[in-house]
Amino acid sequence: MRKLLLSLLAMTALLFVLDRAIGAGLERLFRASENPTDGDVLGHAWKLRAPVIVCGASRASHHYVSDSLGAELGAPVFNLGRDGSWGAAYQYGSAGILLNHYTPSLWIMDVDPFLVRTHEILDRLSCFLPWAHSEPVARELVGLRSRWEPIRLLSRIYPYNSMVLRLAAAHRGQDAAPRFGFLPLTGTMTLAEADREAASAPVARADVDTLKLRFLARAIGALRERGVAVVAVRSPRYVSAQSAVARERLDGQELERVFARHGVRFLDFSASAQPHWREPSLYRDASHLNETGALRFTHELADSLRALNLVPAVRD
Amino acid sequence: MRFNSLDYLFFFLAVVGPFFAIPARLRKTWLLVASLAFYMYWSPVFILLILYSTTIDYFVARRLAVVDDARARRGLLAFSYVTNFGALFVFKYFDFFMDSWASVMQAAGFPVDAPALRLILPVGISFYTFEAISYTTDVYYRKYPAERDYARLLLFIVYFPKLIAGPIERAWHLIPQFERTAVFEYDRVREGIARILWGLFKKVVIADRLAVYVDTIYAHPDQHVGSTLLLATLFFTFQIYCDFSAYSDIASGTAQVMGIELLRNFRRPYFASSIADFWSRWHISLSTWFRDYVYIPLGGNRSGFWKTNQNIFTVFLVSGIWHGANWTFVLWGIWHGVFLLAQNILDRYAPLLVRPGRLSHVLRVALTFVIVTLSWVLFRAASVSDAMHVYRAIFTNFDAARFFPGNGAQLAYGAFGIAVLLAVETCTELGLYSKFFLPRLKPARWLAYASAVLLLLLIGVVDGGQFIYFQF
Repeated sequence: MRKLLLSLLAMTALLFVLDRAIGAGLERLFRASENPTDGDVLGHAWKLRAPVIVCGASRASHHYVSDSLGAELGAPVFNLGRDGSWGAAYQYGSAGILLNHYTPSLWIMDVDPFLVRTHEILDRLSCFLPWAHSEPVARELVGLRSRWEPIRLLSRIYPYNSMVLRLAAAHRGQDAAPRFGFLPLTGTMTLAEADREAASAPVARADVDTLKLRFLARAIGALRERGVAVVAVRSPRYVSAQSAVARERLDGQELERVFARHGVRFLDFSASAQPHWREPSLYRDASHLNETGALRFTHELADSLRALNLVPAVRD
Repeated sequence: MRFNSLDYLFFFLAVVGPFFAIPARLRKTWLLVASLAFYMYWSPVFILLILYSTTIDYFVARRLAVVDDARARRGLLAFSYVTNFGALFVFKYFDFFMDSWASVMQAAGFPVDAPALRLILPVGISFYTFEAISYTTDVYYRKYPAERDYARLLLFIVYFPKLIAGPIERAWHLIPQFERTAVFEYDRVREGIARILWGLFKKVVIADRLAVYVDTIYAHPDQHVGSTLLLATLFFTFQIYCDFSAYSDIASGTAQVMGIELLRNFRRPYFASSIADFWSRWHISLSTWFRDYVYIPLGGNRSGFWKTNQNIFTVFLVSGIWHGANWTFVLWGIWHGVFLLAQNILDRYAPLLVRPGRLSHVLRVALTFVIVTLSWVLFRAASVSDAMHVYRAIFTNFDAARFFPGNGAQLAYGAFGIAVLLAVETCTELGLYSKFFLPRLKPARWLAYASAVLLLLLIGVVDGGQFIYFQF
């Protein structure tokens, strides 16, 4: 028994040292990367102290041309769009972490019905793992994934689980460099693709998730408390069938009601609200604008923000 | 409580620590309590089903021990079979047979509204039912004495390492081991822990990583070309092996720590040189169960060549049904049965085609691997029509230009896992591991353990899914 305990002790010590060493290496790679999926986007945003933050999922990351929007508004913009992070928990976590470091002036939430509908995918909250050691909000969200997260977090490698190859690729400059978090999409959706994708888009309306609603309320509350102006923006999605347009309209009305309850202005750029967004050449696929579409959308958004007098002032 | 969870790690420590600390006479009781708690963690209600069938089997076996009348004995055995298979049928197969009957009637122009129970399948029911059946059958044939101690019989059924997904134990093998006083032996415990670690590695680093790609592709096989489907099928070939053998390794490692040796379930099946060889290496405890309780009672190989082959085919048909209540599993069993028959016929009528030799052996291993890999399409597809689409796409719409790579990093992790597996298995198959690695390179062994743990953290799917065989 004694021999086994000694062996296990020795093994634990060896693992501790290796875990610390490899974890430190991964953390360095992570902090250096600005890749929206596997990089320290939050760290880059607070280093830039960007007055305008765009937050959402892949549609945010591909639709809001940060440098163009920044030029039009006269203030740096950072885009926190992250693939698959369409739930309200991502908004809450990102806001909580950034507010610990500085106070932006304007928070643009890119929203769609998934912000509050369908269950929050708790596994996706793993995106906050790299901040879990230092940020209470990240720790809170990561803790929702499993009751064992605090134990797993004893490891310094674990926060970077499954990221090693992407981090190495980013380090070697193999990834497309984002522009203040914005990742342009090139190419154009063909009409056949448009029809197919529009037809395959989900039509059933999932239930509103109370957990998501709670996170949305907490995100807006935290931003408001620090005097950050919040605006909800629904960026364009390609729809063509009448049923899809009608459905999108209904979703828009629901989102407007949700944000009205919080006193947040809702800007609807959906194809149901603004028919000129039904032009397929502006899209890469049914859910994402290509760079041309993104530039046009960003310009229209800047106009709307200016019209609403939501142009930010740089502050600490 | 999944074996690949921290819940299990703490459960394991909580069971094993006291196991060695308490007096030997209390260990059986301790294991029984732990095993019942383990099962009730899954489904508290279904423990009643186990208690019910075990109680019946206990009394049936006790009667079999004292009754000599052949007719009465057959009646008792039939009662045990009806009890055990009845529960299995109700929970696992009733809806399948009703749905199939309704489909047949509809096709014949007589649509019927078939009743459906839609019951939740009790975890491990296929496994512990077969163990219970083997017990009463062995008592019936007087190969094993009827158990006097009810608690010991119950422990045989519910012993937690193998309860959910095997190996399918036999009373003669497991029960006597409960009576042995396991002393703490460093080498045995270390080997047990190493086995658990290897199982975890196979599940978390290989199987669950490959599952990410496989699940994506097989969720909508109609949207993918043959090249993508072939890679997904190849990945599934390794996923299911790593997934299932991982469970067996963790189960055997856990038992080994406590001084109990479970039946061996896998022996590097993808190095098999024929389908018959494959089944002597894959899910061995099930193969031997079918051999002892289906194939031999049917007459085995004692009634001529064609009757032997008929018996083999029956075994594979039943094996397919055992795996799941779906026509895909039935066809999977038939697939293996057909290829085994083909091999038997070749061996008998064209023996020169299978001349021995190293090159011939390699070719046979490769051919067996291809046959087995293609059979997994039926195992993985959600329906027969999905499976047929996969076959059609692989053979008629390969279209490498439209290959779907998914997330490149995922593919790379998956390929790395397969490479590690093949390296380890090749060394073991060729005897290099036991000849060189084990005795001589102690530091390398420890480095291997440390690397396995670090890889679990680095690229393992930490919150991975359930073990595939749990559904059976």
